[in-house]
Amino acid sequence: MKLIDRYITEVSDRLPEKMREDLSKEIRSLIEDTLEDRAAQTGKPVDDEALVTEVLKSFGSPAKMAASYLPPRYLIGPRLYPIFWLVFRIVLGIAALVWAVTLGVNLAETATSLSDGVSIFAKSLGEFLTSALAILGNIVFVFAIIEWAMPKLTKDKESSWDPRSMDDRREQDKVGLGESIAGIVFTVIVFLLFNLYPQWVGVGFLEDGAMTFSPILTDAFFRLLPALNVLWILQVVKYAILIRESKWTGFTRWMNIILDAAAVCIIVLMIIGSPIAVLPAGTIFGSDPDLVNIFSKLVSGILIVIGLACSWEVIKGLIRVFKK
Amino acid sequence: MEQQQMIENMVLELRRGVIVLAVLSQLQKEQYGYSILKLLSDKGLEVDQGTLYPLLRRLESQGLLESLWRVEEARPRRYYVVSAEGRKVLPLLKEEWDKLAVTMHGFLSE
Repeated sequence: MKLIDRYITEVSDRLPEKMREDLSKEIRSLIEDTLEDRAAQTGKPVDDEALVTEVLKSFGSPAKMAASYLPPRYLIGPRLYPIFWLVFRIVLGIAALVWAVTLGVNLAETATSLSDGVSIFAKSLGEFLTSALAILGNIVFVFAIIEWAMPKLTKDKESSWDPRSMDDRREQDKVGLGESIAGIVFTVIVFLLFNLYPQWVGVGFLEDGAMTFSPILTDAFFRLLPALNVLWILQVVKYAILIRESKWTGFTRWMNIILDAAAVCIIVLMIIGSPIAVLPAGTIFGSDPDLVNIFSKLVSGILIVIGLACSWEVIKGLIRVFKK
Repeated sequence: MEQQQMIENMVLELRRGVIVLAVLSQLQKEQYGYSILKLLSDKGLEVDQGTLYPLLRRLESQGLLESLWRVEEARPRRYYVVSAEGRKVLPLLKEEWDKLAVTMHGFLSE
């Protein structure tokens, strides 16, 4: 009977906690009934190993048995898969383009021999593949969250859907393809810049006749980067949905409002927290307290302007949704 | 071989379509999982265990069946029976089945 115990444990491990006890008891009872009947038919004892094996085989593998009691589960289901695939191809395409340009610049500037070039190419390709995996991971993560939340979001919509609502396609709801593509390209460039090339965000100055460049982003910025990444990926998802539907819908309008509101929250955190960008110490700018102060106020000013713009977008979005 | 597999799958799909009606019709009296399987099989409807047992749970969660545990011969068994809701649904399903059978008969005798 050890085989049956092991089988029940294997099935039970694959079931949700609340179903485990009851279903394990029921499956055991079903196995024992089957076993008893087969034993009576064949004249073998109920604990005959070959007979137990045969019966368990007829029930199917523990994974199959457990799955038959559960609804189908997806990380990214058929409803979202086309949008996921579109977003992934667009983002990967832009990442590949940025990589190719960066590689070209690197090769032109630093490669002095063929072996140099091959080495730069191999290193850069490795970095690109790592980034591609990170991009895939981020996009899958965001879509998995949407997939998880979506049944709750669309359940009411499905039951209250009225075919007459299809006529309600107003001029102001239309979204141009160019607008969405530009949105995706801009968002992906910002995403790649801050994730892969944050050292490019900095100030350049002449020192002893030579041009020097120093990054300005601080640890405080990088602590907020994961939140910004989720925001940017969701922006790309929003644009992908807009490309697919070619118009604003209730879902995309609310998504836009939530994303703008989230952006406001992140900007507020940036303003009230430690500075996200400072003039690098040890440079001619960084050692001038007045310049450091002006720079800090400039960064705060830019953040306030962006925050106000996002807040205005939230208000506009809410007015539009409720007016409708 | 491929064709045989395809036909087997189609037959399986056909059976799946009628299994709810078959189960509801046979559960006027209490039965436990294995006895339902045997009952259906004895009357000519072979159903896979992996299809029947989860279906019983699903019908119970939909309120069409009721179940209770009983200990017999020192072994617990879960017995299923049609619920009041199931009794209301069964004649409606029977009616649909009769219509479908007539329609299909018409198609197939053309």
